[in-house]
Amino acid sequence: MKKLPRIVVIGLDGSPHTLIQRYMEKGIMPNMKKVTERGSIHQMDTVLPDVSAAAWSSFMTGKNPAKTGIFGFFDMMPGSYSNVFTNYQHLKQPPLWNIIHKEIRKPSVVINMPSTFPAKPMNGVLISGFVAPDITKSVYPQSLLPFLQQMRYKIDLDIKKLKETLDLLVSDAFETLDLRTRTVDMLWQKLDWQMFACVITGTDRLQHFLMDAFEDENHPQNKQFEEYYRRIDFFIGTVVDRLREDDVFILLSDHGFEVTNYEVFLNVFFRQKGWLEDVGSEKKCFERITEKTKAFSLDPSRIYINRKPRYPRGHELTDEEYYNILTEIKKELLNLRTPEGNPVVKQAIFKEEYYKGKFTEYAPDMVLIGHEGMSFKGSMTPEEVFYRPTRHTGVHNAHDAFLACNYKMNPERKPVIMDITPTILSLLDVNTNVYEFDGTPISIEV
Amino acid sequence: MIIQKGFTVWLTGISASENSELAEMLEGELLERGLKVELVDENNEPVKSKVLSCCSDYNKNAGALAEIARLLARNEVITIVSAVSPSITIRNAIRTQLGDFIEVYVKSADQNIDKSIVEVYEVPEKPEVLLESSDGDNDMKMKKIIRTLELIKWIPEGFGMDYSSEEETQIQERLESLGYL
Repeated sequence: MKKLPRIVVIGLDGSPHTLIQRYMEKGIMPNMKKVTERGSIHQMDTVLPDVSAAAWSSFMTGKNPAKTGIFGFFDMMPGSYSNVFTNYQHLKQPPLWNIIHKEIRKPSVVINMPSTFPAKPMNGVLISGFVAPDITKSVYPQSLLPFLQQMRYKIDLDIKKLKETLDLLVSDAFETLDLRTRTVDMLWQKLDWQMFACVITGTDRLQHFLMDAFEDENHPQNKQFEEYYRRIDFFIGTVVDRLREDDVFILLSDHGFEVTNYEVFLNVFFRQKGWLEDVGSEKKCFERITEKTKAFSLDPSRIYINRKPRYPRGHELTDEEYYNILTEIKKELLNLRTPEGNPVVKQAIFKEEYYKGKFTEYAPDMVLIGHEGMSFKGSMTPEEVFYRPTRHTGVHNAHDAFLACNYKMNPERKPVIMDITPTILSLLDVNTNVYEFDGTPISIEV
Repeated sequence: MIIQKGFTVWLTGISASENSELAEMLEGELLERGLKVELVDENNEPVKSKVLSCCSDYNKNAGALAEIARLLARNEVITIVSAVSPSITIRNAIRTQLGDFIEVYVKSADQNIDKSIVEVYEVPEKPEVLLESSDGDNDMKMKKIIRTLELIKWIPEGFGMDYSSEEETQIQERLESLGYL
């Protein structure tokens, strides 16, 4: 029987390809540089909307959100305006580690994978990541829980520390990374795994609040930001040191990041255009939507038409009327300008143009791709459409994620995050054709 | 990592295709839970040795499948057997032989079943799981088997899917702090 390579996956949540390249050139990430000099690194696209819940779900299944059923951290319950927080139980496709078990009956270790809460039984170990609220339901098997509790394992940074200082947030990021490293140490030798995956989410957190510190060398936290990536690189080095000769080491991010130029409150724009009416003082603001509302937006760039039967106070619309409204909104969004007169929306994409799968009907009716630095928001509270960022200085993007490997990759086109699961399964000699993946296997010179 | 016990889930009923379909779904669900599981179906290679045409063929075949299940179960593998296995006497003998044994009776409403099978088929007296049309679609029927296995603690239970209100508040705060809400 052919010996199959072990697969090691390290995810750096939200780390942009541009940042990794710059830090490799500046000598801040020497271990990453060594890995990619022997192998390769590519810029990668993620799915829309470019938010971690959707992106990691598409990574772990090789499928687009209309098949995974995960379009964001929250969605609206069918037939209502109530938010529901998505979780692992909502994932409609088998994750990579279950396919590995099904095909070759070997275990996997999966640490801090976003959108896998509550942890479900699997062959191996699963520690759920963001937005898991509780460690006790985040661990499978449960026999591992006392060890994690003993080491004071943390699922995520304590963002509340931000209220004190940014420095505290950074030191919390260091501490959390240290805990993640110790967890990898503990589990590496624990069982005879076929795939070992760990996601670092501190990268995303720092970039939300300190993306300007990456771009501005005079920023007070610039050196701390660099130091965090030095430690990330040190962590990568510890993984490299453990690799066997024929192990395949894959690193990726789930989306890119860039400095926020404007926060754009789409529902405020919709209200100004007369497409959205909300009355009353319901705490859950979408409950305030009236029958006059034609459309509304959910974070970060999802547009929904208020149409029956999907929404109870929606309009009875023929398909032609529905597309007329969408087309009108698309036109106005493409014409939207910042106070300085710069365009805001680069692309407005109808759901049928992008989503393919059984759950397309639950997809946003339109998704947006913004011009650089545009951070689309769904809150209805602000008075104005445009605000300069005061707190969240970084915003996700869909085009600047990265994919790296310790072997040369020869993608036939720009990789997308859905390619990774079929790529890994191909390395394990699994026939990927039977799984109807949306990604395609990337050729790797193993 | 998973400590599991070996046991046999035996799907019996006059419709070989309905038994097979449910057995495959059950295998998929147990695999998703990371459990060691094998499916042995009298309609599939390599256990399908010849065309089964009479009661005695089915009974002989059931005996052979039971032996495979016994070998797998003693190696802590869950074995799903899909077999018409028309004889009560044979099925009870297999139950005694295997010990950890769950009988699932797939009651079919299919009118196009071979009459010779319908005539000789002996309905189980006390199957652990009875599946009939009122149980809903195949997905719901499969979940009924899974729930039975969970209740007798032969497979681990998953966590419930609903967030508590306290958990929802925590999630809301986290998402708000990152600017998502």
